[in-house]
Amino acid sequence: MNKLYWLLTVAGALLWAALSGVHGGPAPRDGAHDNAIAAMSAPTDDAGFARAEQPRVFEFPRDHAAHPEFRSEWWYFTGHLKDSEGRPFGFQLTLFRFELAAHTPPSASAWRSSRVLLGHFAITDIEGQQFHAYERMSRALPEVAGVSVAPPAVWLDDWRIEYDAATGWHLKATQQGQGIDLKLDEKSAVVLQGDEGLSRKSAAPGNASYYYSLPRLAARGTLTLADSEHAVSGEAWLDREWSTSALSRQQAGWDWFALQLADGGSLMFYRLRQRDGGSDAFSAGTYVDSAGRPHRLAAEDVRISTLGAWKSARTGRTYPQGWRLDIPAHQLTLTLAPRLADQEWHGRFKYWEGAVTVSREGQPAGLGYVEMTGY
Amino acid sequence: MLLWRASLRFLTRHPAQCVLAVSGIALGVAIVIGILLTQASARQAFADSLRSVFGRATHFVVAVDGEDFDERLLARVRRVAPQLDPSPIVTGSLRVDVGGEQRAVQVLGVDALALRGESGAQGLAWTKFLTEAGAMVMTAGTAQRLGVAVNGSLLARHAQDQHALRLLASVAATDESGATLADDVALLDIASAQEYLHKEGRVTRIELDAGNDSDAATTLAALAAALPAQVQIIDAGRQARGARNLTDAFYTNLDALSLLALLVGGFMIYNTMAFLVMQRQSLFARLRALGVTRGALARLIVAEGLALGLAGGVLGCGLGYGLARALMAPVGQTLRDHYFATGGGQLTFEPLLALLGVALAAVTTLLAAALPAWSALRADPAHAARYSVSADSAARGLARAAWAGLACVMLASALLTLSSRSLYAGFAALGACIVAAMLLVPWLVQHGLDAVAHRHSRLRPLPLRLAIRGASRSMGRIGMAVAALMAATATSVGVGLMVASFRGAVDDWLTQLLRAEIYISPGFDEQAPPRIDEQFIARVMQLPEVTTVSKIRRARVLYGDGELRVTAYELPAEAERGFQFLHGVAPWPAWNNGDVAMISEPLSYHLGKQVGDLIDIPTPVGRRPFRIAGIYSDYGSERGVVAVSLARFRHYWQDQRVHGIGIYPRPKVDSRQLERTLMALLPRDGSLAAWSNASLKSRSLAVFDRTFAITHVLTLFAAAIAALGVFNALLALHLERGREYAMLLATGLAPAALRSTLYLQTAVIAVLAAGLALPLGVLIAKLLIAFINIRSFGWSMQLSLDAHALLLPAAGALLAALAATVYPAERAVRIDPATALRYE
Repeated sequence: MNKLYWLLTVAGALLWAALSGVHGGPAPRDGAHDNAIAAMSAPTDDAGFARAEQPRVFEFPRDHAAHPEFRSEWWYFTGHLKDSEGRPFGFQLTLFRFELAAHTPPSASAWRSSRVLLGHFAITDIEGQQFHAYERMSRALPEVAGVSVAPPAVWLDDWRIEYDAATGWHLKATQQGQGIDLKLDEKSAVVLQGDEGLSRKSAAPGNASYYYSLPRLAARGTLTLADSEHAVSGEAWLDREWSTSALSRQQAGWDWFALQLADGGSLMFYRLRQRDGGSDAFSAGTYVDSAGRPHRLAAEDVRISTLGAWKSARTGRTYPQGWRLDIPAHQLTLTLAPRLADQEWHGRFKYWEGAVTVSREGQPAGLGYVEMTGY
Repeated sequence: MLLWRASLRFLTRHPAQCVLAVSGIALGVAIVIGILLTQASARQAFADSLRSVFGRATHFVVAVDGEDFDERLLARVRRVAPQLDPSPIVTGSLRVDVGGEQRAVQVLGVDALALRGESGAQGLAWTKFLTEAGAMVMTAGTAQRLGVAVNGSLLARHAQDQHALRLLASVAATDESGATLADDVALLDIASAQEYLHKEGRVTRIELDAGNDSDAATTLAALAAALPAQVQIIDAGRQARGARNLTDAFYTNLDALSLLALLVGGFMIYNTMAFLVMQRQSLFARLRALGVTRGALARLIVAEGLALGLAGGVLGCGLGYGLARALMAPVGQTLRDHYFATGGGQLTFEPLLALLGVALAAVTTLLAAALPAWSALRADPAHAARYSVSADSAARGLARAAWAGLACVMLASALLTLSSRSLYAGFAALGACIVAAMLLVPWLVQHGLDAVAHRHSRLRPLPLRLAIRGASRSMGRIGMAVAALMAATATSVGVGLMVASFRGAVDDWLTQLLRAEIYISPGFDEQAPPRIDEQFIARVMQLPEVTTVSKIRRARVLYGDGELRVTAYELPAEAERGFQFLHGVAPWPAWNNGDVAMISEPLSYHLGKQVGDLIDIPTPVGRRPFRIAGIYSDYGSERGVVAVSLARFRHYWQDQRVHGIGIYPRPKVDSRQLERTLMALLPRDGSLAAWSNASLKSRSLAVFDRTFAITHVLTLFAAAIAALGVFNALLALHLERGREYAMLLATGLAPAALRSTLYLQTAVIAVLAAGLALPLGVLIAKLLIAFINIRSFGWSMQLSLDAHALLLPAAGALLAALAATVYPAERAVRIDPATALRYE
């Protein structure tokens, strides 16, 4: 998937919006993305950063940790949980790392840091029909935010993602009474996206990222709502991606699908939508069949049709709601439906990302997460 | 229609009169508008600076002692209350060189990522703002004033360090959302701000926005519980109010001046209009004799006054705007120097003020025309036609004015007796006194001159006798101008005397207080953190030349709606003698062991605290009641100071550092040599400086002088405008008397004698005006010292009669009046008697 856009846009727009807020007026909403990309791309200089130019040998757990020689990176967890009484929840915990400059002069001020961390944390309370979403941001500061390589960890205040070779992944996040504290164990092998983990975003060499997924992580722990605590278990998905430059100005947004199928297979596919409504040729994904064999998917391998629409009363935006994915090469026809219509992020950044159910020929066939931006 | 033509004809036939009338009105409006506009802009700029610095925050986390605090608290605030968008701020000031002059620039260090707000300034390279050391953003106006272009650099100093600040972008002072970046603020990233201000690891405050939190009270309570006692959460609005209090005293000064402006301006207009009507009394009489009704004439006068008033008002607004532009620089500088405020450089156009200016002109003009018009219209046409103003009616007018003056005196004393603390009552009384004097002066002058002329009816030389009679006779006409000159001169004298007395008192106080030979302190930056620790003091004490040191530590704590300045002293016996107690006793005996304090006179006045009362001082361990042992004389802070012993301060604050020390050398030690020795001990970063007793005193007085520089400028301006008014009045008088002068010349008076007569006449008037201005000036000074100063600052002092302050304005008034006579006198002696008389 192409969350690189996402990151660039988010980080850029946040910087731009936040900074200009010192003396700024209301944002021209429709132009925000363009301006953000312009603001970020105009002054930035990739010199001094490493680039994703050819496939690399991934080493774990080293590659679970940060790669600060690349400009940007993320740890993107989504998942479905159930408590002991079967009450279902969705969750998302995402931490982004972004370097504003390749070199930082030494200083006695901790703020002389060009590393920025951004976090998004959400709980979808499907029964309660509630979507709790929170955003945080900070430059890397002692006691506030940072990354560590050994052990692999990234944190933003008390939101923390860490990996331990013995105990696996540990996710912890809480805000305003909503929280998760989860242990995740890898149930499947690492899936290298793109060309053995090199995910090209455009024809220009170096406009690519390193991208791997852990599509099946067994999750166990507690989920807290404002008035209750739940012992939960379920399955999570991790997307890891890092890069320096992967920008194209032709795209209006993207749809990202991460599906955990009931037969043990999994599917990741991102569609880059062009301004003219078409799909970008660099849209891509991977289908892992029930036997665990990965199959690369190119843009033309997947046909996506939307089944309905949902209009946000809050932001006035209309998002597709329900999709059909046809992958003829694998005789796969999947129908996706949101587990809650309103899983819209409506803070400084407006997008829809939420838990969905997967069905095949009318029968439940798995769970997943869908992200839609640029609507 | 005929009437209107007559009016128009009069005005066009007398263009000089017309110009004088309009310019008189314009000058009057200009001074009022100029000062009010300056004041409004200064207030607006200050409000803007609060708004932009405080942003949309609803609450602040600040240290109880008002100092900067450990930035690691931010981590706790972020965890406990992330929904309040905690945003750290570091502030301070840097000095920049602008054309060889040092200017203060306020630094606003922000964490760009944590700031609130929607958006705005498109296309700015914000990444650079975050990553490039010294990248700054300013308003376009500030950048222009500081002479820096986008991508250009400013050299900024803090202590001995120099930093290049690069202007990344300039922004409009106010954008469409109304959010502003204040003038003279350099917006820096918090990293640069910490580095340049030497505040690494510390923040000035953490801003919170509870506006979007539906359960803000609970969140704030939880946060308050999670924070250590050294910091507290305060309401942003309250902080803004507290900061505003700081400048109140400064605006009091400006208030006094705008009141003066209003008086002088009003009288200028009255004078001009009254003259224009009185001059045509015979014409009106003739018109009445021809059958024109009173109503028609009254309408004419009203329309004429309105037209002139509007023209003068509009012109005056323009002039006032120019005056305000000229005044903004010194006003802004005073604000920056003394109140750590920003702004003051931006002149905001106030439509309401302009309207006020025009309305003032129109109303005053109408009022001014009404009185003489009433008397002109009431007069018997046959009688009035013969002579413009009868001696009787003029005398009656002066007498009536004198009675009104006496009423004003009573009003003033009643105001002062009935109110004890109101500053406005004080101002009203002062205004009433000046008005009283203005109303009394023409009558006094006329009667004085008549008495002289009567007693010395054969007074030689002839020009002097003519001059005295002429002056006496013209009082009805130019009495108001003379009164205005007198009032302006007296105010100038009064303010001058007050400032001189004030300066004398400060001088005495400094001499008393500054007992040590050399002081080590961060200089004049009141916001500098304490940097002197006991190790440094020990090194100083080890010097063989040094016998002992005094120590001073300052802190600002929040108190009520504002802040309280706490000063902690550790003093040797010699230094203790430097304090002059106005009430109570020195607290020294019990000072180190108990919670005993002394408070400065202004604090006693503002808080209404007396000897024996308790004052609750907020300390890091909570409020502590200190018993007030004495009230001492202190001109260092107009808000006032509470002084406690350093031992007690350290007990509560748990902070050993101090801001300054005073060094007492052994006898016969060369103080210059000692100063050099001490300089070698100072830290190399320039954060501390050594000051000799004399240089500290002269620096303090220089600051004092700068503060009052604007007062001098404004009083001089008022006096100059009054002199112009006299010029107008005299010019008109002499022009009108052309025929009389021609008659004198025709009957054999030599032109030289006529010239001396005219100059003497002016001199007699001016000497009388100035002579009366002196006692009135002393009275004004007394009122300023006894009422206004006490009521606005809480400072008492003795009046001292400074010869300079007394005589300079008087001499100026005399010169201005004589200068105003040059043109009419020269014109009068060149006039051809035959031509002038033929007109008759």
